Amino acid sequence: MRISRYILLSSMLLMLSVSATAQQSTEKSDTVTESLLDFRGVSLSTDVFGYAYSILEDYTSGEAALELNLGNKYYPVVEVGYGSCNFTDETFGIHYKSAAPYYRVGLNYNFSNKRGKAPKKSYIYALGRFAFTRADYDVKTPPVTDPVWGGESSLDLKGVNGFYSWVELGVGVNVKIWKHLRMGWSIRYKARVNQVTGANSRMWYIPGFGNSRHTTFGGTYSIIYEIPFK
Amino acid sequence: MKKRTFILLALLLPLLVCCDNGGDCKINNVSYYRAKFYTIDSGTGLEDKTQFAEPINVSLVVNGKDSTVVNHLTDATDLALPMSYTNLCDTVLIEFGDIATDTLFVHHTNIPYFISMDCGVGMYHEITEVNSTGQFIDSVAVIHSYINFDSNENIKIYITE
Repeated sequence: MRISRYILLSSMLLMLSVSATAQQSTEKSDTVTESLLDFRGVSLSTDVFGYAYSILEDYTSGEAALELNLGNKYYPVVEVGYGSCNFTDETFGIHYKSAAPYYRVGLNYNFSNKRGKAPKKSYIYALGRFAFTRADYDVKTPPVTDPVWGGESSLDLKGVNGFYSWVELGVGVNVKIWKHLRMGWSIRYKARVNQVTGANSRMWYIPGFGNSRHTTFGGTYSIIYEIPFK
Repeated sequence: MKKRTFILLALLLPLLVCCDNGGDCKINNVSYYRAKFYTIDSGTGLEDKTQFAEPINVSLVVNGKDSTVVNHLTDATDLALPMSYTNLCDTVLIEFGDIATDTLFVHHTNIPYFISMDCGVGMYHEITEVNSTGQFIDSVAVIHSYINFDSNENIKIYITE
């Protein structure tokens, strides 16, 4: 809760500072056009890869992102998504169910544009994100037999609270399609930062991350609508 | 532009090879507690690890019957023993050659633990108390009460000199 408040506050402060920069640039017109942090616009996007992923895996997710354009070079991003999983394993007969939102904040860095030159319509960028989710989950397992002493034991857990945070590093491409419509993809390497485990379990499906591992890869394929400011 | 792209790729490629599968899977998902033998020097009061030249036999009392899990172990310094999934107290018979036979009563809780879909459910435990009949064993100390797949030393068994 404290982290989400901090991120929300940071995002609001960022928006206010950018808005202030934009107002200043209007007043001083040409003198700040070369500034690296000059506010150039806002983009809204949705990731379609998460929906398509449900064909391959037993979980699905949808997400939207708000991105600011600072000097056609730096792009602070906030991504909010929702992931769900309802899966029964054939080998062990374990059932796992979870659905929860996830949040990412970070920055895209445009490699293609250079200062003093007209921005390119398509560009390659590097990305960095900090992400987290807090999810409740259910786990039900069939009985396991004690091989030495005999007897059986099983689990039927409901509403276990888990927390998982991670960082993402990657590269992406952003391409202009038509007028203000763009599309893009990104490949991301994800590494766990922290997780809170339960007394009898830990999260298996992490919304926005994937299966519980220390590291994994992910991707996005986004449809983007750009709202230019100048 | 090209130079920067190559640098970026060079930075990212090592990440490809260090991606793990997060696997903590064990063959039968049984966790063992580890006990080491010690003596205490009566003069200095310092503890020292001990090794038995005499063979050790260890049996678990399962449903009223002895079930041997360690047979004629020589030069023994430690033991790794399984715990019951359902009992709250395990009875362990340790036979120190021809010297003596002691019984350990290991009180514990049982913690079934969902690890992952790949590994299934593991059985962890927490030792709450250990008592012995005190024939050859002087005392027992619990040093790591939580038992999972880690290879921690869980209890110290002090032997009468």
